[in-house]
Amino acid sequence: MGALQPIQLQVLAALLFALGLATVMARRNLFFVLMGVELMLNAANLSFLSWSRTMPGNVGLEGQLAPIFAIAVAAAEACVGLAMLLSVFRSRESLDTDAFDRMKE
Amino acid sequence: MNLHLVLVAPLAAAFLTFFLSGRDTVSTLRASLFLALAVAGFTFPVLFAGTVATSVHTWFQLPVLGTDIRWGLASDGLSGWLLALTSVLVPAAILCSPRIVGDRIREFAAAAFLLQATLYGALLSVDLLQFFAFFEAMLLPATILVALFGGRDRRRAAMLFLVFSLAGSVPLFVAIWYLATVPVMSGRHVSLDLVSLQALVATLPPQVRLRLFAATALAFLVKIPAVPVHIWQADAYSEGPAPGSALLTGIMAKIGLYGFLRIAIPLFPQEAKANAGVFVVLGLATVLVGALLALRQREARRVLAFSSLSHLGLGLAAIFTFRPEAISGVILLMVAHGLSAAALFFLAGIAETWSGSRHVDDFGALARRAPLFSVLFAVAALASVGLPGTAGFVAEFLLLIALWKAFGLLVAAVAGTTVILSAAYTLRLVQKLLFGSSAERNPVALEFPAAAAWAVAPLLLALVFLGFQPGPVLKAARTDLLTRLPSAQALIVEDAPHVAGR
Amino acid sequence: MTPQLWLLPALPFLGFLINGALALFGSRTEHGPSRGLSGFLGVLFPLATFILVVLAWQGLFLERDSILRLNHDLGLGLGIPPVKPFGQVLWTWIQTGELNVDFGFRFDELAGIMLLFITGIGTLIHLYSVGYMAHDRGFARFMAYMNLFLANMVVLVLGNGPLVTFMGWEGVGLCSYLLIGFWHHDASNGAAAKKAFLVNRAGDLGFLLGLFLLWQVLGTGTPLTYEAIANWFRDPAHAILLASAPVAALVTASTLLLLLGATGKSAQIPLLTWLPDAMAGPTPVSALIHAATMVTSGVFLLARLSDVFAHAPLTLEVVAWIGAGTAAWAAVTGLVQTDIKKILAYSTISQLGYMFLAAGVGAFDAGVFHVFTHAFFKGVLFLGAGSVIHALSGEQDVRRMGGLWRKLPLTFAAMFCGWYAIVGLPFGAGFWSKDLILEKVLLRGGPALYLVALATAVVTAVYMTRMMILVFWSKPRLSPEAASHLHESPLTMQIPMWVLGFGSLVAGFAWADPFHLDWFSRHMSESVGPAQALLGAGAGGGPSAILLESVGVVASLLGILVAVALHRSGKFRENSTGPLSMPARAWTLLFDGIHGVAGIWPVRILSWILDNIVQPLLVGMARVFGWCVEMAGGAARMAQTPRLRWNLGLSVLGLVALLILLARNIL
Repeated sequence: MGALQPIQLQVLAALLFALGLATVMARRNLFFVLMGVELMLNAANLSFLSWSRTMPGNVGLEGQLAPIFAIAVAAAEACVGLAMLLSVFRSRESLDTDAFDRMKE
Repeated sequence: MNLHLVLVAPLAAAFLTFFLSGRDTVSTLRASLFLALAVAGFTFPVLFAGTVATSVHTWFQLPVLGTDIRWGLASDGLSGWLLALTSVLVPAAILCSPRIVGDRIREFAAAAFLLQATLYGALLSVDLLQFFAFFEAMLLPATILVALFGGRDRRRAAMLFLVFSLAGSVPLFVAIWYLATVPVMSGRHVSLDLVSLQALVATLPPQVRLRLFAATALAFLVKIPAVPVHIWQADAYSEGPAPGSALLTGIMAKIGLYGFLRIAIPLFPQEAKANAGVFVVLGLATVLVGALLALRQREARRVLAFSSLSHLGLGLAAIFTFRPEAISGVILLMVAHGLSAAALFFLAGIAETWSGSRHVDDFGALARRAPLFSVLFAVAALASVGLPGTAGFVAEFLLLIALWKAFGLLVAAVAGTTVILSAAYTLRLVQKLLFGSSAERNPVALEFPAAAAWAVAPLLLALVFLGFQPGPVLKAARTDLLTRLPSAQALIVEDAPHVAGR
Repeated sequence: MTPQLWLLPALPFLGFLINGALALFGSRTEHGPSRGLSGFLGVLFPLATFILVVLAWQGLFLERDSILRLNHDLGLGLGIPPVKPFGQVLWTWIQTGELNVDFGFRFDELAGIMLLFITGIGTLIHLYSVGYMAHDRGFARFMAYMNLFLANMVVLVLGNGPLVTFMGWEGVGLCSYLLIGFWHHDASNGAAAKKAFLVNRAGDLGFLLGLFLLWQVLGTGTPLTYEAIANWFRDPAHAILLASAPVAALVTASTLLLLLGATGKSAQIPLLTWLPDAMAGPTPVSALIHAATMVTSGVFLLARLSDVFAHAPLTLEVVAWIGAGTAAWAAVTGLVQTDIKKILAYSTISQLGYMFLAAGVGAFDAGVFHVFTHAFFKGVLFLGAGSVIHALSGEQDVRRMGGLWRKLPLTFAAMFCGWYAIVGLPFGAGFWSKDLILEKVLLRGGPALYLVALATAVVTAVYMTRMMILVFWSKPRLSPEAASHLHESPLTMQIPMWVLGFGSLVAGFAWADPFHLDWFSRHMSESVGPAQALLGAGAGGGPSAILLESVGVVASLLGILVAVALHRSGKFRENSTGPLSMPARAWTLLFDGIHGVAGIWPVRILSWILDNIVQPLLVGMARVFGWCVEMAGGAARMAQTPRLRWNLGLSVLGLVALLILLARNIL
């Protein structure tokens, strides 16, 4: 087993991102949409980290800073998202994204 | 003679109509009529002045390219007569409108004035983009007239009209865009006023010129209209309010012929000459199609619409003979047809209010019940048929001579069948409307509004007068060309006085 | 003193305006406008015009009289000039390019002769109408239309060029339309009127096209006036030009087209179908327009342009055969008709054929002479027929008449004079004019044409005698209501009949060669003389005039005897009623059928095709275009979905596409 190639981790991150995107688009339940979004964020984090780890040369720790911020933002966004989900559920009585086709209401 | 005043007058009139009362129809009618006559008063001096122009200055420049779009107003004999015709038809339309538009006279008058303003703009323009702006702007009040005041199927008719006209003028817009941008790329300064354009177009390669000519011609063909882009006309003229249709056929259709005379032919003389045969064929086809279809129509105004188609087709064919008789004849045709067709539409509209339907068979014996109406209708019909003694005859005669001289006897004979066919369909209409026995035993006399009589009678008197003294109109074709205003006159080659027998 | 020729058409036109105004304003009232005023004015203006025409004749002799006086007073030996026509140009009408046409009038002998009987007989018929139409609601309107007709007829005859004539030409066509369809509550009258107008218009197109070609022959230097045309064609310098093949072909084509116009107005083959239908109009209309004046316009045109036609021998051949053929066909058709006015209508067509025949053999003056006499005897026949119809309260079928010579003696006397003239019995008007034509035809047309003309004369005598027998001399077959109301016509109707009846007997003496009375031919010599000289129209030569005239009388007597014999043997089916038999109807409607096949049905088919195939096709194409646009719009609209996931998906897709393009350096 040679050194870790950058591409291998990037592919992993891309796969995770794709999974997350697929989840967002394919699932109708709002919770799963949020989970998909979280997955996408984490895939991006993974991508950053793996670059910092596998980039040739003396890259340093800059690549590990972005994920820290991203995680914090993801956490906040998750709260806000869940709060909005709750309020949407209250007005719509449903968590089906296909039911939300009227902006007015 | 301030042409800007002439252009602004109908705009001001349209603006002022909104101060009129929407409820008191009598005073609104009077005030609108007064405004219309005032505009006419402003317009007629233009006709008498012969050739007038304002100074031309740059309106705006296209950024980066530096193309000059000019603004200027100019009028010669051709536009002068069309201006005068417009200014006479608008008050007549307003006078004939009360029964048809009910209490919305204010809106009708405003639309009519807007139409008049855009027509004036188109007729007075000196620059191609300026002309195009007014040409397109014309569609708006015209569509409003049809869509707001018309009959049952008015929305569809208005939509058809609007889409057809816009589709027809898209190629023209592309042509203007081309002329404004492409020559600049090869390092020349372009300004879009018509006279400079003549010089510019001459330097373009032939295939490009041909395409530009085709694009320009298409827009005007849709306006006249000519076969095969004539489909919008019958619906628009029969669904719209009768006075509105009168304005559309009386003047708006003429802008098509005017466009050929002022723009398409002077800008592209060689292409026009080379392809004259195509347009003559189109024109003759329009004459025949219009006449044959008019024979089959069941609604009075549709007959009149196809009649217009037929008459203006003859004008189109004759323009492309490039003869002096043709140019004079076309101007006279435009004036004569404007007057007679408008009169017929006005009267047909009144008749429709009596019978409550547009169908030919529903009118019944109007000669007995409305004698003054019948007299006016008969005179207008005869003028439309081209009875000698009316201007229509002189116009038809000149156009037939031009066609004969340019293309031989057979072409003139084919065009001349309009003499027989126009009599056939017009008399059919006259007999359905005026003669026959009415269903009722004791027909009640119908009330023919005096206003309508006052509107139509001067038109007919003018037709008869011009029938005996067409001189002023015929001479209009020979007014000196402005350096600012091209005309198809330049193309005409006076033949050498022809020797006997050849 | 400038001649005020414009008064001649202006006066009847003024009558039209006044009577028209009376009709318009009187239409509101219960009973209609005042008969007295309207009738008075209606007769006054034509009468004034007639007086002016008579006065105008003096103008022709002005120059001659002054020279004669000079010769007499001063003993000079100046040569006496011929009569000099005079004209009046009113204004420049059409001036553009090479075309320069003035609006003016010219009074010469041909116009003068025509105007004399047009206005004279016109006045008489206006007077007759006062009596005939007295009970009609539209009396003032009728007088107005008749006055307008007279004004247009004057313009036609008096015009100084073909275009002014054309204005009158179409004007009389219009008046014919208005008058045929006068009782417009009946749609069939309107149909007849429309037919007349359209057939006339077909001829008018020929007129215009022929005029174009004539202009081409003349060249731009020559104005389009009759004087200039005549001078040009008479100029010996142009003879060589006219003899050359291309110019001769042009002249032939031009004259053939002008002939088409003439046949339209004068109801000859091929444009004759309108005249019998025109009988739907009131009888004075038939008398004035369709017997005496409008239908003679074609012959007038031929005489006016005699110099042109003289240079087109082929066309003249065609004219002669058309005339002969029409005369023969119409005579046979008249034999099987049962409506008194239709009989007279076909008789008119037949006599017009004689006039064309005369012109065709180059005897234009004989043709115009027949116009002149025909106006009298056909006029009186029609007026008499009107009187009979009036007396019988509207009956027009000859099978329901009979024995009226006793009951309506005055009408009978007048019609007898007309019958005497038309049949060609000695010294009547028709005797002189028809035999003159027969003589000229034999001299210059050849035996074939002569025999056709002679045979037609026999048939003419047969059917006219048949009419007289069935109406007057046979046993009465009147319906009871008609018989009970039988009464002679009022004086206003009688006076014109007397005058015209008298004229039928004596008008022929205007040109009676054996008695050396040649007032008529002298005054025609200037207008048509040179053309006739060119065609070799000499007087004399051939069998003697007396012999030919005797042959003519024999033919007439033969016809009369045949008619009497047929009546005696009961062949006239006078006791039957109902429509014509099949062969009779087929023969009568022969030309209607030809028109239908050649003209009407193609137009109908073509317009049906346009209406049901081409138009829907074009509309369909526009619809297809609109449908495509709608489809495209619909497709584009899918991107604006309110569905959340779709929106998201499409955005992602777009982003991916953008990235790929960027990566590939396309953007």
